[in-house]
Amino acid sequence: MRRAISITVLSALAGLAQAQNANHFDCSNFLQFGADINKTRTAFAQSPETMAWNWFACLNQPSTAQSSNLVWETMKPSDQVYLPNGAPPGTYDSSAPLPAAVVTQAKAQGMNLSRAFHNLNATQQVDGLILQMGGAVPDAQQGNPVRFQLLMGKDTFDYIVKNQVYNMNGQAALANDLHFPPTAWELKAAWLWIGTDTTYQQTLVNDGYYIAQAYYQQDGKYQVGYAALSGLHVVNKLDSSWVWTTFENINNSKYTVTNAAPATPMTNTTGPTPAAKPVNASFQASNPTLSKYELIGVEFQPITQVLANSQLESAFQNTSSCLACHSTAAYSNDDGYFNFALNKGGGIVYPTAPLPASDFDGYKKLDFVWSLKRAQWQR
Amino acid sequence: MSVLNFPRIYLNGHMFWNPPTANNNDVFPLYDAVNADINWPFMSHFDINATNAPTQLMPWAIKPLAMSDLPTYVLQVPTNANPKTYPYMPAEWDLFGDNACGTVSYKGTRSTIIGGELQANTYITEDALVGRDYQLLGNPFGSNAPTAARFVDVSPWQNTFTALYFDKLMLGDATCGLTLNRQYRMMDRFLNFNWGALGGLVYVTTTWQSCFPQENLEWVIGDSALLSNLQQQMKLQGAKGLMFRFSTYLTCYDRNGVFNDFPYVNTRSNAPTDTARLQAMYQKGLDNVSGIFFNPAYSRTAATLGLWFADEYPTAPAGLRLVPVAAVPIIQTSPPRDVAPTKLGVVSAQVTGNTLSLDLTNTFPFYPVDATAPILTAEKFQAGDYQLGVREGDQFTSVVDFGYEQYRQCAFDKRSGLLDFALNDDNVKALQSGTLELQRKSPAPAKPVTAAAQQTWTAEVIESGSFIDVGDHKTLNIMVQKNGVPAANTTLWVAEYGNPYMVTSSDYYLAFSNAANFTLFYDDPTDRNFNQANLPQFNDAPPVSNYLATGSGRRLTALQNVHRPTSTPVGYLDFLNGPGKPIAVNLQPCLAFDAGVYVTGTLNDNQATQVDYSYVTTTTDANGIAQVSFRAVTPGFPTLRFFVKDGDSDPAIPFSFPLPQAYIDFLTPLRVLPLDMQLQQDFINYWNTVYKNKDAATELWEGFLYPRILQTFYYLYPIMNKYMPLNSQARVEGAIDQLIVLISKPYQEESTLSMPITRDMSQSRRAVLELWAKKLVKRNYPPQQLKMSDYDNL
Repeated sequence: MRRAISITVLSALAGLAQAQNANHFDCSNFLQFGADINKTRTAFAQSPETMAWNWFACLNQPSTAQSSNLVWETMKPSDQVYLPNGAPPGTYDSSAPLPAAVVTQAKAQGMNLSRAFHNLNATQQVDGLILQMGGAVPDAQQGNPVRFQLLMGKDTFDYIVKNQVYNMNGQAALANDLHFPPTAWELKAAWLWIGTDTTYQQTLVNDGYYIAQAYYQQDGKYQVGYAALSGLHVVNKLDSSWVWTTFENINNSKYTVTNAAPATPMTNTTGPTPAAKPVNASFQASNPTLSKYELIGVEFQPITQVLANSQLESAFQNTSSCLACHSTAAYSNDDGYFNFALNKGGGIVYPTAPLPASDFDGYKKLDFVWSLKRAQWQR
Repeated sequence: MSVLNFPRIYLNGHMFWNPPTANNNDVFPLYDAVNADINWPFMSHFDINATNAPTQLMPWAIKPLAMSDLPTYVLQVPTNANPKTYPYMPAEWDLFGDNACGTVSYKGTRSTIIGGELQANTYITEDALVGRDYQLLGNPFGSNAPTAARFVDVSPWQNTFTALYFDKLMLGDATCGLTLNRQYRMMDRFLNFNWGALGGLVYVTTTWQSCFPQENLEWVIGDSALLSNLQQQMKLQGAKGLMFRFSTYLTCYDRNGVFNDFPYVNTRSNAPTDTARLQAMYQKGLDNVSGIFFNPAYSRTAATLGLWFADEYPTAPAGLRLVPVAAVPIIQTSPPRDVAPTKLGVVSAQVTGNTLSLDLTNTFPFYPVDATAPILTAEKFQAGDYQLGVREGDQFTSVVDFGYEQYRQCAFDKRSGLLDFALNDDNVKALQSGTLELQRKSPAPAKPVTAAAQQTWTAEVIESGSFIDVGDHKTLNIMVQKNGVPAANTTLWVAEYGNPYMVTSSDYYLAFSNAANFTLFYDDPTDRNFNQANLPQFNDAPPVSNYLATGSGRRLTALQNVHRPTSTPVGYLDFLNGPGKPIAVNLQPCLAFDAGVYVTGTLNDNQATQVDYSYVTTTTDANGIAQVSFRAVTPGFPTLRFFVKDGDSDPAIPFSFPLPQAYIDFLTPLRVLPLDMQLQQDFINYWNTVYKNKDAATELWEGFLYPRILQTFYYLYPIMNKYMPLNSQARVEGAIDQLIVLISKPYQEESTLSMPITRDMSQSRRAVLELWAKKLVKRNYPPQQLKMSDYDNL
């Protein structure tokens, strides 16, 4: 106990010290960890939370001086990687054209077609449940799900293409485990759907939410409108077990609710961690556009730990570990993808520490990249 | 022994019950539970079929139906034609129920540990454990936080039908408490519908019990002398573990806003404004999960935690048991009301050293003091003064006396219905000299009334409430006691009974295999509210009075014996194969006994109807445990009844017996789930015709999985919309990891998470879902054929 407390305190102090230098971080080439990855590793080791915030700040800068898109919004969405019928994806920089119906609606609503439109094509978290919007959301959105999207960096994409694991045929043919490069990045974003309600949109702006243009398909029809970023996982492979960071808006409990009956406000029960708190205060003060976002914590060591984003691991926060859960990413030709819903005591729990290697006999490990589950077979 | 032993810990509070009521309708046969399917023949009366169900079924389910809307056969079922019932909503009172149950701790209403006794009459209220909450909890679902315990009607049409599934019982908290991990789930016991005649289901009481081996206990004694003493005594006295026994009573409905934060609804009212409001609220919940609300029932509860010894039934009170004999006059004083004499309930008794302990948990009837109060409180009827003693032949010897002050509600609440008497040595000797009898004192010259007398034999099945698949072989263990002690080398006869209607709670008829067309009920077309069940018997068997019931289930208000009616007799086969087919249940055997004896009996009706039936005999071992084995042959809800062979003469197996008698019989309900190998083959065939198609996954979902397997459950368990909408391919596939775990066979047996759909799911449906989930969804639908042998490798 004494040792754990010391580490926590030291970590918090280190984070505070690093946070004072927050604004001096060089965002150029940060997705490649600058010119010397080892320097990044050293800085990360001094304060993982500070480095997480630096990445978050860099990701949220405009992608170019003239662009209205943020850096992370230019990353490759998974729906443009894992294509129907297992088709090979285009190049990393080529964006799939928006569906015509989306363009039509967007024009009608006066939206900016030169700006990114996020395809928010997922609603389920890894426990199979949705996160309901509720509380202060308008009646039209009560009970509707928070929506999600997956994005990946260029080196992640290139590795998937190079190894032809963008479809199931490629994954089934794997002879060995996958090993992504250290500069592999993935993001998972959670969004409150706004639609076209300008009053609600302004409320969310006032609460510090980043607003983006978005669409999704439901019952064969496209919904087009605005969405507010409520949570963001940012992960990369700086460490062999990857580095797992997660951010969310501090006002999420106003707009999302639990599955309790009656529903109660959704809160984060895992953080911000003590080490993240001073770093949050520092970066929030120096980044006005991100001042309502907070880092919940960072995982990078293969130990028993719990970390969750209230928007992305809502109902299973106390058995949620990004690293442990993603360490089960594996495929078997006989049994398919590894089932991380663990049978325990007549219930279901999720791994909070990496499982023993013997659990993966007969599987090919996918190097923590669960987005590969979205691959399709060629037919 | 048992909780009648010392030490004891007493608990008191409220329980909630949150069943999904559309699939458990007392009046309408919406759900064909035998085949686990929507009752489409019934639905056809309303022009609803599988094709138009997506738009028609749920709107129909939440709309009140007038009596005139119903097919005749629905009203013909005895108890189903009470005009006061209608208009009646198929969804009933808790459409979105999730099968949860547990104790209530809400605002000022708490369910807590209230005291204890280390030995007789040493009541302790000053203890670190006292005042802390207790709760029944379910298995964890993706979180360290436990979920709710669950209950399910294993056999919905009979008496002992409700099973309570739980993972643990938790007393206190992490600083002072006790966690008892489940070994045995519970079944309701002594559910006495006779007391419904006092004014409805609110008067009906039931008893529950579960036992926990020592190794299943997690102690955090803290500063609690009660816990410390209980732990010490468990070891010192050589107990097997702990026993938790509780009663539930004073069940009330529509208490939203009192025990919870849900909006109030009045589901008992037939007023158009109330039904319209309920309908609108149900529709809102169906339209959007944020509109889902519960409307649980609530009961009072009183419980005792004590010692569990070897040879004691784990899920029912063992030891000496007294059952009612004659009705006794009872008086309601506050407010005054004339009440007809009634029979008491069951009494358990035990002599430990020089202490006589009685379990009066379910013995004396009670009434709500103010039936309009938000939270009902009970008072016992003044049922007179009593003497308990022994009978030897014609001689009754009184040993102890007690009066109203000792069984009235405040005394009941204090000790959870237990009552102790100090005995001298002569008393002890006297009590061992004959059989126990409870007499109500009467002022001279009237003679005392024998209110209850010792039941010589008791028998309980450890695996009561089991689920079995057609084709499966099963062995049940039956613990038999004679005068409260294990009965070695005792022969039992075992016969199977069924209930004839898929609505209401109905009488029991022997399962038979021939085309016996006895009179099932008497139909009065001029007023079917007077329709009555017929209970024929075999020749030479004592006659059984027919009775007229008013209402059933939640609507139960009265039971009274009536004379044989003059209305039209309706034959069982005529009803089963004729117009009554959508509501009748085949009384064919669901089970084939190992070494069964096949016989033919003749009914004492005008046609001398021949009945082919079977029974099996079994004998207890040195520990008083017998076994009965059988193979499940037909889906349904068989109830096994046990008859002890006492002496040289064979026991009589009655052809029928009435529902109100069942609470003191030795019954075990079972559920036999259908097996449909053709379904499994059809699934393989379907996939093998579409597997190469670009949209193979969607074709399989729309063409097979949803319509053939999940559609029924989608309609009947709308609470699933909140967690896994069963009509959504994306949502079900997106939760495939969880589905694989939750539909597994072991989870069906015990997990509270198996609720609500999979406990109703046949083995074939489960096999198809497992094959689909593991070999197709988890592999992203490989364009490869499946074969029947793939079912063997799941």
